[in-house]
Amino acid sequence: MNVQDRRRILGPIEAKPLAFPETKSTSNEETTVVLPEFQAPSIQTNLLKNCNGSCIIENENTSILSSIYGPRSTRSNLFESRCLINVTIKSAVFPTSELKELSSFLINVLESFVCLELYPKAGIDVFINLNIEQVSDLSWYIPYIMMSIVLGLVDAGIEISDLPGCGFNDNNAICFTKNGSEVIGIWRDKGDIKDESSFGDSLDICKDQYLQIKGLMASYLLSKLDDDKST
Amino acid sequence: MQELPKQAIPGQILAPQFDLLEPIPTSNNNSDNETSSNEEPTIIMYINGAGTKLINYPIGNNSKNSKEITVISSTKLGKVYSYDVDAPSDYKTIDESRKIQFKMISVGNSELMKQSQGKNESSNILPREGDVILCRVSRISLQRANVEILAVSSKNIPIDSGVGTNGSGTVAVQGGSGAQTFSVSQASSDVGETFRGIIRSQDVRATDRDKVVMIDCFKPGDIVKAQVISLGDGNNYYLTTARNDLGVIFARANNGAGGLMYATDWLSMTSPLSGITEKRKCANPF
Repeated sequence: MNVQDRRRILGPIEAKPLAFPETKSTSNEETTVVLPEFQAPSIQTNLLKNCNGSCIIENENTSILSSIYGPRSTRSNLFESRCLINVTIKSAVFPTSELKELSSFLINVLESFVCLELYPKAGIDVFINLNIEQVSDLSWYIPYIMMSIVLGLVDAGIEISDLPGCGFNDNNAICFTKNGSEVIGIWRDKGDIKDESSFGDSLDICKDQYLQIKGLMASYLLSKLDDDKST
Repeated sequence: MQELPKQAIPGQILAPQFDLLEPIPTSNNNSDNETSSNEEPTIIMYINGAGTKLINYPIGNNSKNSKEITVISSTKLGKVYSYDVDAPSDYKTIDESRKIQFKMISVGNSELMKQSQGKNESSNILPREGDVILCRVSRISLQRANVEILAVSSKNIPIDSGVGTNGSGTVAVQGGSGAQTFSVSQASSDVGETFRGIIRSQDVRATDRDKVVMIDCFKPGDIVKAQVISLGDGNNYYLTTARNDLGVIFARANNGAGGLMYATDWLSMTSPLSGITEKRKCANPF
C-alpha cells in the first residue's frame, strides 16, 4: 500500500484551519444577458483543407467550428465491429470538466444516429472549437454545436440515419431525431426538474426549435447540392 | 408508384421497400398484344444500395392504430440513382404468379458509383473482404510480413488519410478515438496511423504454400498489391498475394539503397542501373 507522509501538509495536530467572516458580495446579481432562445446562424461547410469534413456555425456572439477526421485506424487490440467515436471540445471560456462531460454526452447522442456498423475497426474523431463570448450557460450553445457536428459529418460523407437537432429552453437542451418523435439526449445545466408540466412545456419549445433547425440544415444542404450542379 | 426524388439529404425517405407498378392504361387500341401484358400489376422491390438504409417508419396518427412499414431512407447527401438488378440471393419467391422487379437505390455524388452501378460503396473508404489494396511492407519474419495499407482500389483516399505517414494532422491530446482501447505505450512506439495488415507465409502464393521463404518474397519498403481475405483481429487485416496479378509491384535493390527494379520473371526483379537481381514474389505487370 502506498502510504504518503502528510505531516507537512496538515501541520501539527492541534492546528486549526483559519476561518474568515463571510463577506457580502457587493453586487447582488450577476449581470446576465437574456438571449433570444434561438438565433438563426450563418452556416459554412468544407472550409478546412486537412480534415474530411468541417462546418462553421456563426451568429452574433458565437463561432463554432467542427472538424471531422476519419473513419481511420484506431490501434485497438480488440476487434471492433462498429466504429468508435471521439469528441474533443476546446474552449477558453468553460472549465475542462464541464467540456469533458459535454463531450461524453455528445458521443452518446452521436452513437444513436451515425451508421456505426458500416465502419468496422475504424474511429471517427470530432473536434469542436468554441470561439465564443460567454453570454450564457453551456446548454445555450448545444443546439449550435449539434448543428455544426451534423453538417460536418454530412460534409465528411459519413453516413447518418437522420438529420438530428437540438433545442434549448430554460436550462434544458434536448436533442431530437425522426421529426421530433424520438428524444436522443437531454442536457441540463443546473437544478432538478421540479414539476413535470414546465418540463413538458420546454420539451415542446425545444421540439419547435429542432424542427426550425432541421429546416435550416435541410435547405442549406439542398442549396449546396444545387451549387455543385451549377458549377 | 411514386417518382423517386432526384436528390436526397440524410434521413429523407426515398421509397417504400415494396411498391406497385400499376398497369398503364393503353391509349391505343390497335396493339392487341400489349393489352394482355398490361393487365397484371408488377411489384417493385427496392433494395438499399450505397448511401441508403432500411428503416421502419410509423404510419397512422394515433398511437393505438399505428403500423410500421419498411422504407428506404437516405443516409448521405447527394443524387439518387436507381438501377435494375437481379433478385438478391437470399430472396425467396412466395407466389410465382406475381411479377416482381428489383431495383437498387443508391445515393452519392461519385462517378465511381455510376461505373459500379451503385454496388460499390465508393464513399466508404475502409478495406473490406475481397478488396484489392496497395500496401508497404514494414517488417518481415519467417511466418509473416507486416504491412501498412496505403490505398484501396477504386476508393477515394480521404483528405486526412495516413496521419503520420502522409504529413501532419491533428490528433486529440488523449489519442483520439483510438485511445478508448489502446495502451499509451503502444501508441507512442508506433509512428504511422494507417490500417495495418499481415501477409502470412501460406498466403503468399497458391502453389507450394508450405515451402515459402518470406525473405525471398518481400523486403521491407516494397510496395505490394494484395487482396483482403479477412478483417482479421483488432490489429491487422489479413491479406493474400496468391494470384498472378498480386505481389510486389515496386521495389528498390539493396534493401532500398539501390535503384528501382523491374520484374524479369515471377520470382526475380532486376535493377537496370546496376544489373543486380533480387528475389521477390512479383505481380504480373500486364
